[in-house]
Amino acid sequence: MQCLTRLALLALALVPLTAPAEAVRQDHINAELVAATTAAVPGETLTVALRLEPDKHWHTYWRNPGDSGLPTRLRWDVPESIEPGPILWPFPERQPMGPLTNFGYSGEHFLLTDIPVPADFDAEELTLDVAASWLVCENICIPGSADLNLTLPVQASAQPSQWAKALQQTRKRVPTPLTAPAQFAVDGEHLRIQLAPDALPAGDSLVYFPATTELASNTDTPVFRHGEAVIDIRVETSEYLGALPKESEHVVVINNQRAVVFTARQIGADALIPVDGGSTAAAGDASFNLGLALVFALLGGLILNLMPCVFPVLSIKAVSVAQQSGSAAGERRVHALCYTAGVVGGFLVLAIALIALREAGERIGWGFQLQSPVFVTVLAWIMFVLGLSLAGVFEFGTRLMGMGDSLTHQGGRRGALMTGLLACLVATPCTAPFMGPAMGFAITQPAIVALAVFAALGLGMALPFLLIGFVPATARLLPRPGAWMLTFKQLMAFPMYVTAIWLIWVLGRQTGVNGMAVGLLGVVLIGFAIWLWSKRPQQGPARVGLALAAWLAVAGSLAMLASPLLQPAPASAAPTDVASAAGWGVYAPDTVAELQAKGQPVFVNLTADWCVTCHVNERVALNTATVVNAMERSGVARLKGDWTNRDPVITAVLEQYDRTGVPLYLLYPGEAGAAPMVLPQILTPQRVVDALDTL
Amino acid sequence: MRTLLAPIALLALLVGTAQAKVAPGNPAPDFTLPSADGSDVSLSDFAGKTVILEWTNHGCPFVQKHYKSGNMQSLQTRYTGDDAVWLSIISSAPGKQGHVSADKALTLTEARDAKPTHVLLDEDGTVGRLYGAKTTPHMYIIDSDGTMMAYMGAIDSIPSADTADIERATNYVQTSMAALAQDRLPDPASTKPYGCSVKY
Repeated sequence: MQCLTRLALLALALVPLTAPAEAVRQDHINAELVAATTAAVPGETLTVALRLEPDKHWHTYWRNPGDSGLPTRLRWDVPESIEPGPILWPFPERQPMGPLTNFGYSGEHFLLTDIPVPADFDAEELTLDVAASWLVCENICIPGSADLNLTLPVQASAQPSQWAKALQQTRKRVPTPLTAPAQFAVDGEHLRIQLAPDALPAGDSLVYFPATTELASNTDTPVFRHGEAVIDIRVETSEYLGALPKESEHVVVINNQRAVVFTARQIGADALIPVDGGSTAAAGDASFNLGLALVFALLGGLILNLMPCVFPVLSIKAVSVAQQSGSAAGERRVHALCYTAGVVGGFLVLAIALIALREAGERIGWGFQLQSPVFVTVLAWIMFVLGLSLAGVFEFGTRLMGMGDSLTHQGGRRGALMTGLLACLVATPCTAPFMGPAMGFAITQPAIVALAVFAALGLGMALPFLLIGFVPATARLLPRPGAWMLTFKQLMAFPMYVTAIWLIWVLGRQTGVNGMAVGLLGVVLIGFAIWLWSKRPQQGPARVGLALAAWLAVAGSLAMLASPLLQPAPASAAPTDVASAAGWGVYAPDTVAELQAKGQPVFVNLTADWCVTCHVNERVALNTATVVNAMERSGVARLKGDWTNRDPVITAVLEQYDRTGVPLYLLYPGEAGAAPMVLPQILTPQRVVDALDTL
Repeated sequence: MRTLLAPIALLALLVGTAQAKVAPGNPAPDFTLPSADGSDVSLSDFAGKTVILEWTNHGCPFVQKHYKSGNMQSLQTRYTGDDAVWLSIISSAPGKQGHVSADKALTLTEARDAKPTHVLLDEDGTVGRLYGAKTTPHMYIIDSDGTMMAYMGAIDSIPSADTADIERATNYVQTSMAALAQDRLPDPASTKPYGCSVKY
């Protein structure tokens, strides 16, 4: 110890007179606290730095030290009103050591810290004390620490100090944040990080450093690939890779002169953008592309017609098709086109809303509109009104909304358009097979690509009716119009009522009994309005009065939409009881990790009350004795995640598997951190049992 | 006995032998090294026992942290006996820091009052590289059933050379041994080791 002190004194004696007296010499390193200016100025930011000068061949470490080593740390002791910022780390150098690679600094280097001095800082002097600790290594390592201090006069202005230039040079090497969006995924043995193609200069020397530890291998040399749509950085994963973080930080050094730092969001490996135009560009890579997404969307739309949620609207359409089957071929075509326009337009409007909200930072997915109790209420009312109309309680006037126009012979085009729009709205709670991957892809793409995929989805859904409109042979297969049509029309009112009841039930799940009562009160008011309207005499002041009263009732029901009772209930309120029923636990990512760590496999069911497909799957597969027994035999824990109301955690999980909506079924093996098997969106008991057999 | 671990170990044996990647859940590769006391020691000698491997280097400040405080010795005392074996392995190459002769190794053990079952000399670093030992200390725990790797990584949760941190840190040797005693898999089963690099 004495020897050390003597060494330090010796070092001090050798330091030039201009240096502050606080520089210390320790084993193989000099340490000192320096400032960029000669004084602290109230209201301005003071730049200070830990100056470290390891001996030749020795080095210290970056924030991510690499395979061994420790980052340098600072613990400040400063006046109360002073708050030093974090260390501004200049980019490091790679330090290979046999099978290991570390990241650090050799030679003289500075770790900057910005310290705002309050405008009202009132003292003659500012004294900064810092406890610095570091690890300095050559082939061997020596942990070091020192209590350093720096006292500056507090003045109205300051001159650059002798360190100003060096600190300025260092600041140029501190990575600047890149605002371009970035994403990362684990693709087999590799970590892949993707940036917009213009985020980094092409043709420059680029060197990658992982800022988030235990994610990328430190030793592997990362490969940069510049595709037309993306810059792709590929590096082996760290052998200590555990659960993937939602976000990770990365640094890229450009031409060994400056660096950028960016945060990448975790995505699924199949959502990675293919690197085209590059040399080795994913030739055999079965990655998703636009063509495939469009085909999938088209198929998904077609299959949507078979989904239980679309059935009520198909019944309206069936009525109108039956009515048209006698009409001229030209008129049928126009009808088909109008219906298609309605469906496609509806999907586009929803897609634009979805994209805009996501751009604004909302974590939402497909079906988001049904997470709004107001939307659900309005949809329930529409179903009720349509039911009344089909049942013949009243006929829509041609001027009233045009919604039911398809049910009359005149103005049928507008009616067909509205039916298409309605079909799209009602279809949204469903995710059909093929739809999931297509929409998951669309969401990560530029808006124009996303819109094309959504349009294809609408086109797929309208396809059967286009066929009827344009291929006379198929139209001839339909029955001739006749008196039976009236009976059929009235019969179709009942699926409408059932749909209305389902929607009111969803509303109840979302908001509780009070919200449900508001929704039902609206039903009564609307029924009242329709009754008033139908009681209008042909003419006279009573006609105007009754019409006014009817409109007042409608306005009253619309006003109720603003009721606070239609707010989503707290997340914990409704979903838990449904989850705990039938042996289901409540889903949380941590719970899955805990169960896996204990060696227990986990089945995760992500669902929503408004998701008809989810309910059907539960009835016909998940809650059947066969499946329940099989799960119990395999010791599978069952967890249910409820997305009826907005839940960012579940949205994030859906995104991870490139889904934008529920249902999503995941079967996790009972091994810590093992990736799950993704089950299809339409379940049969056999499919679930087969999946369990793979455990 | 270890009903949970056995099938996993068996599966690992079936799947893993070809790749022989040293990772939790995979079988631990067998090896034979000279012991400082003159005998040859193989991992397979200890079938049926839990084996703790400690990569060490007496010149490394991170190793010194755990020996000067008595932490390492108390772990060694606690986890050697009928059911468990502690092997300290020195992989420093001749001429590099931490390389010692057999005699020097014995002197060090005595001077520090250390209690390993054996100190093994891995001069050419074969076993260190086989296991991917990166730092000193770097700890590995091999379960008695199926000689499966149960834990590998840091000795505790605070990467520092400061003795004062030992008390505040979670000791992963202790938590892993406790988990194994209850037929559970250690959690975490793998951590990033800290310390000086192994001087291959």
